[in-house]
Amino acid sequence: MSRYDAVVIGAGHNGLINAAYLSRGGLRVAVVERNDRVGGATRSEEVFPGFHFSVFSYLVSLLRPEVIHDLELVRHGLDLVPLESTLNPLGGGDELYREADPMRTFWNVARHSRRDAEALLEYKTEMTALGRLAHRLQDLVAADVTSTALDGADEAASADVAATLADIARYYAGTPEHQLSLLYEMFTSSADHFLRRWFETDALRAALATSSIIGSWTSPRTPGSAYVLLHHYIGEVDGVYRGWGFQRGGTGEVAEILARAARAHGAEILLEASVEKVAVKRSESGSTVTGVVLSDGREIEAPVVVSSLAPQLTFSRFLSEGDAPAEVFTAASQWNSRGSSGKVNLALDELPSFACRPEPGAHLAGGFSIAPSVDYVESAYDEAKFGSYSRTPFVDGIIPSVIDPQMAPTGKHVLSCFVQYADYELKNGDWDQSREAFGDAVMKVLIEHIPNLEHCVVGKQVLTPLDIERIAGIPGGNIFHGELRLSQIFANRPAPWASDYATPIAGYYVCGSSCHPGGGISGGPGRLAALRILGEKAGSFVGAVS
Amino acid sequence: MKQPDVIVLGAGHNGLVAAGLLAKAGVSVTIYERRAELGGLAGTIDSGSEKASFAATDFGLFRSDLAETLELARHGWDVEARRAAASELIGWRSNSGPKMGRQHELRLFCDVARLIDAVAQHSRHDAAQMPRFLETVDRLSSRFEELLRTPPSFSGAASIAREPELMRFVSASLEDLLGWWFESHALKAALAGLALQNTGLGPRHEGTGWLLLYQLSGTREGLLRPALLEKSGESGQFIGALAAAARSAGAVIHNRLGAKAIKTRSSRQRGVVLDDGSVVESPWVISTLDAPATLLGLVGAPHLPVRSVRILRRLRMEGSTVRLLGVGGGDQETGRSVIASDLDEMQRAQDWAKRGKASVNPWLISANGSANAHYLPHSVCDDRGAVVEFQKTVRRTLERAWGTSTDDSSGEQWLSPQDWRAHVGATDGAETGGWMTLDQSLVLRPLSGYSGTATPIKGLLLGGAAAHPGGGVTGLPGAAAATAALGRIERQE
Repeated sequence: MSRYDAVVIGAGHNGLINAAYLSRGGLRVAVVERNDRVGGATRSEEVFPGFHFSVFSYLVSLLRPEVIHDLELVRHGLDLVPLESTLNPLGGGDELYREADPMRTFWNVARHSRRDAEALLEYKTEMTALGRLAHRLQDLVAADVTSTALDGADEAASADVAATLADIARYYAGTPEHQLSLLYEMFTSSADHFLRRWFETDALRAALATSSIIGSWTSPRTPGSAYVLLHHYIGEVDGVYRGWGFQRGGTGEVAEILARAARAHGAEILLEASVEKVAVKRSESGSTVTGVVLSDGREIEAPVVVSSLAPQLTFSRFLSEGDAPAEVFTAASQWNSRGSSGKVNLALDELPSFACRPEPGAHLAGGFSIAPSVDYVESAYDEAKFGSYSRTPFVDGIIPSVIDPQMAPTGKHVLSCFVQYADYELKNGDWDQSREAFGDAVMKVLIEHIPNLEHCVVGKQVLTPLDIERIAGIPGGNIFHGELRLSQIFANRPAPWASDYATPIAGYYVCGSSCHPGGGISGGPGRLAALRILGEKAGSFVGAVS
Repeated sequence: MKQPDVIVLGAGHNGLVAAGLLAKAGVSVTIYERRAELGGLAGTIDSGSEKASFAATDFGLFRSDLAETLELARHGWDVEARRAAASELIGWRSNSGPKMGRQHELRLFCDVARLIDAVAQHSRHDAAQMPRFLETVDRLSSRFEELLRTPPSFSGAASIAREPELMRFVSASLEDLLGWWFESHALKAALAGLALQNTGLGPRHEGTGWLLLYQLSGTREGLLRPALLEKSGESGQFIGALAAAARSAGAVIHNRLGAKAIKTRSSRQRGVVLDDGSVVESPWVISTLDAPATLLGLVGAPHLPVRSVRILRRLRMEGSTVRLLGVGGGDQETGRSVIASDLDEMQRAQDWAKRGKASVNPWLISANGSANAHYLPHSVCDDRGAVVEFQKTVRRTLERAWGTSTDDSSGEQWLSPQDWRAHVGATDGAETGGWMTLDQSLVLRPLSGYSGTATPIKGLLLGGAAAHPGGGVTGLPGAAAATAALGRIERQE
């Protein structure tokens, strides 16, 4: 039997960040990972000989600058190449092209509507301001935002929290009312309705709305979808808001870098170490965690166990009835993490050529998005939402080999697509039977806009929500470990009694995407959970993190 | 004629409540109503030889304290007596016919033992969950009621975020929320129908939990609130009592005389131009029309801030409820029934409306020989073919649900969003003064920048369903407008 100060379950990016911070804080930490490599959904793989893919998430945008700084990630190899443009093919040779240079984007949009081109500048200013407001909320432990701790027993803690709340109040007091209105509307409105404030061009609204639906079981016209629009505006690369970055070598490299950072601080990472259960000692005053038991029978003792997995595993699978109050199991069973998306990775023997922009150019180093109209995306949603997948899906993709030639053999290319919608629970048949048909539907859409894909595909990997569940270990295959919707954020992420990362079982913590502030490769949950644990160890409540 | 302290536009239930409360407080008040009938959407319409409820069927949401203050019992509407006599909130009937036997129907009784018994016929699991569900609703509803009765503010909205359980309940979709407790299609459809009636929304829309709590508030300690329906022959009694209460307190009601404009100068209201061309002046005007009808229609865009005009034009108003009166056949129940199959079908019906089309699979709420069908968007009402097809489907659905044939369609009368617009001036046939989504509620109702009962025009308040907290026969917006006007009169603003 081995002993550590803390065991972190899962070596996805949040688990690794958590472990790195805990080690940095002086704890002896072990990370236990079921797979034979680190990364979880942050994973790269040589799927076809010579062709490398970021299998799941292929862009990094939301990674907190504090994490990059604190863990010295650049020294460990972090090298994010900003993604500078997005091409939206609209069919019939038409396009909507947004570039890094705002003036070029202005004229590209003005081709569709001069008014919208002007509104886009205004929109970006407003959203950046909102992003900064929301950013504030994201950097606080959720329990503080929604604090009931003010009446808590710990005087010092209360003072801390009170100071934080006062800080937020001051911050918001200076906010113009129209911005508060926007923020409120953003949390409650549909993306399309929200965007109508600014834009008359349907294609532009569709293009912007897609960032609100990625990873979520929602659509541009479904109330509540505007919130995720904001979530994506909080991203920051090199201090520049609204930048998306591509990691050289693929997203899996981010996990390797995080693992190096964790190891550098002394953390041990145990691969192929699958957790069977979390060991809990029950007593009259409540349950206390004592360590984990692995499925090969090994036991690891630790007074602190941190799970980076989704609530269904963290609570329902790893604990036994009686280990925790019934409400814990109820909340886990009510957690909505129904997957909505799939992925298609293509190995190509030539450069893709868009129908709307056939010549090679800078656009190939950017992203592309097939969502020509709001109706298009809405139909894709309607086709899938009752237990099926979209016949004409929304497809968002990049060509990583253009950004980083090492991703494919010389002269060859890889293309990664994120596809929506695909319901985790199929009404007819199962995903193993439907995988090919789903892939065909994606290819049909792709070929319509990138005609040479008809003959240049030499390898095709189709991943369904079921595959995401199997490989990344996310129940339901939801890329955010649970829907990012108003009923599942802040204090309700994953539940009011765990929104400060501590569970009703003493010593058992949570730190995954299903915690505040949520999904994306932000590292926010992993970092905030670690600060909370370290603060508790040091005998002080670390609430506000400056 | 002496100038009244307050002019109320529209004698819908909210207008009558506002006028009654103001008059009781010693303020002189005059109501102008364009129609001959009082009551607006909560009033009546001639249907064959008798009167029928126009749009509203359930008066159970009307707040008891308002009824008490206005002495409605004395004027013919005894809420307590009616509550004591009523026994259920709503029911559900399968839209595929009675062949399913006892699985065909579910009644949500207010009596807990009867309720649990009825639910157990569909699911023992759900029956076991019911006490916990009622307990949760009970726990949340007093706080929710406080929200509905307090003028909205940003700090108030933010305070919901500090109450995780309430936040989760009101922001969830009905599909999620009902799934937390229940498995039975019948039970889920009954509660979803209750929440979604007349709103244009579907069960997968986030924030529809708000609508369920809206309908369940007023719950008596762990019980469901009873629906209060006007029985056949009673139509108009509720509004009659409200009008009598307002008059007896001294309010003057002019019917057949509506307002055609509100005069303004320097963003201040300077009088109301009536249909007959005369102008009446008063320091305060409470309009119970919706926000676009009041501000774009009566005031006029040139007199409003540009920003507000943009917001008003973007408000989602469109009504999509069709009402069928004089339904023959098997519907002799005294209660209400949601006629639907399950949440997915209800959402599919809404999907048609989302695309600007009439639902091919409408779900219904039938009550007292009438039925409300969802969804026929206002924009489709001009398409004769689509309307006729929709009506046929509604008729077929009723026949299937009740297992009877309604060959005799002679007594039937159809009302659509166009009628809401034509009779009470509802913009785009809005049934609830504009959609009751979360982004058009609380601090963003009636419009972003002006919350509660406020408008960009000084001396002009909103007091109908467009004002906070929204639609339904609650009396709350009217009361809020009366309170706001009184406060300002006292402060001599």
